[in-house]
Amino acid sequence: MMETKVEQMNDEELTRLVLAGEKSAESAFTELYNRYSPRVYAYCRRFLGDRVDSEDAFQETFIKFHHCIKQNQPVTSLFGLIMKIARNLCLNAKRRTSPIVSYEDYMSFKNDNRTEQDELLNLIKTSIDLLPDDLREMFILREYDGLSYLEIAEVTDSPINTVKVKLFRAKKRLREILAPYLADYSDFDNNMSNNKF
Amino acid sequence: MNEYNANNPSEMLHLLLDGELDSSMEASLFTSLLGNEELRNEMRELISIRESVRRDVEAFTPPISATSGIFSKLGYTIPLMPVSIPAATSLGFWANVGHKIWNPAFTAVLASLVTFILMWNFNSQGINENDSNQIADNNKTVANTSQANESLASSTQITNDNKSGQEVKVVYITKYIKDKPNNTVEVVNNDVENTDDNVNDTGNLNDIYNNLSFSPFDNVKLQPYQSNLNNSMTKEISLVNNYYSAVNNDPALTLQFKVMSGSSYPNINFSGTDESFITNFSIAAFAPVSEIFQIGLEAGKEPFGMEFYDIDDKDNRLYTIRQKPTLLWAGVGVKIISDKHIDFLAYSQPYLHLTMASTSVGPLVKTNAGLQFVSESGLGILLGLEGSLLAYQNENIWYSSKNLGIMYGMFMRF
Repeated sequence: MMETKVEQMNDEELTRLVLAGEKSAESAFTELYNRYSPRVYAYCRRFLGDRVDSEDAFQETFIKFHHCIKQNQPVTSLFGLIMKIARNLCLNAKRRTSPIVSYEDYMSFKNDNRTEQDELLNLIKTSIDLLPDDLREMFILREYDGLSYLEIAEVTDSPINTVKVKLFRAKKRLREILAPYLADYSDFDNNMSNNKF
Repeated sequence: MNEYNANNPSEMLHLLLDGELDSSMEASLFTSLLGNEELRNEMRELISIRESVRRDVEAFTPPISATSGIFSKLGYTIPLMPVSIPAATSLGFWANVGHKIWNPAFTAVLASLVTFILMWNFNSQGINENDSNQIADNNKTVANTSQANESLASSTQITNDNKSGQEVKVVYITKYIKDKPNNTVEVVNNDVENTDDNVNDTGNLNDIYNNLSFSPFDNVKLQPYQSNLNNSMTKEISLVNNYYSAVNNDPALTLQFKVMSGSSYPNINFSGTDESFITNFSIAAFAPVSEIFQIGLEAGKEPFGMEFYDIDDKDNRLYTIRQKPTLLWAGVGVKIISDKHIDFLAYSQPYLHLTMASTSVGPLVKTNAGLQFVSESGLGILLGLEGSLLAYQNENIWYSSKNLGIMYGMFMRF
């Protein structure tokens, strides 16, 4: 019988392989890591802002996640579990740290302005940092992690209506912060649309 | 929470863009969109924000150090494959890849273009060694130079003196003379040999051609043809080629200064880093070993982007160190200069330059290739592509750093 590649396995099958602790456990965990690490890191990075703190939280998330699998805890959604772990770690880190931008982050920000579109991205990153924690979290879970309202509600233990409201507020606040730039961008976009042939 | 109203067009718009709007409300929203310019602007802005977020590649790329830390702590092998980026960020990913590869891609295209031009140039001059007519045609270039007027006159004399009326084809064989400037070339015409007993046949043209690597551009100055056909068809042509002496590799000490402008891989950029030529230059002294080989000593300065792991002894954590030091280096270089010249590029010569050097952190290999032009005074210029590969070690792990860019410089032959 042909062996199924880990890339083709679902989360449950991969979890079983990791739990079994056999030779394939490593490749199964690697596959889970490849599947979810970008979104987990995006959450940590944008929620915490600081690069070092976000790396710490990110590493700790996957180590705890691995322990959870090993303890064979019942899980309905693997990604939901990872995001809950990440969220708890990030909230803890947020309580500990002061809002000081590291030199490395500052340099990264300064050097990361290659095009006009990147300029908007940089403004958005700055604007995200200006949002209150609860609104920022909603925005990141929705826009960076692509979670549905229901998934966000599950991860944050919030009613779905609260998620809707907070998301609406977060985007509204972002638009207010970005208003001067977005107006230009919108004009530019309109002109481009009108000039299409 | 009172501000939220699901029947508000703006909120419906948010729900629509998030894929959460009930289908029964879509018609109402679309009607609002048609008649509400402000709402359409809001939609554009929200889409712009979302598209920008999807270009946030940095947020979606876990650092290698973090990945290494996780897998090390779990006792797993660190995965070699890069972490995939979600499809949602595909636009940003490709934009990022494009940004990273433009420099090497541009260099590759430029190198291909130079290679093509060189190949085309040489092939177009390709000599069929068995075709004396083609060789003669190539020598029209020589014949047309003012410096060869006397030789032309001699060739005319040869034709006039040919009592048998046979056509005599004078062939100026440049490379043969170039190698041995004081040597002689015997000009032989097989047709004449068949009809004139006085002709001293000393060889076959093909034999001579077979020993040649022909380049019509080397032959610039010719001495007059020294004899006539009444005595012998064996004639001496001695060539003194001043220009050749300057542009080729007659024994001479060469001092060289060159600068590189390019990128470092890994590309580490810090604001305020001095990227001027002062941080990336070299000086060298070369002595000729043979006609096309030169060997010399070199030294210079060059910045290298470095990214490596380092374990902090205090907290036993793995860190990624990024830095871009400017290193001093010194070593031995070999330069191979083609004896071909490119006519449409000011008679410049292709060359290849290899250097084995040492730095304070590890060995360095440098190579550059391009074109060089030298004037009669011995002053020359260089233009080409240069690559450097530095190997260095930290925590018993070897790392490498590459530089790639455009090189330019000047040299002086003494």
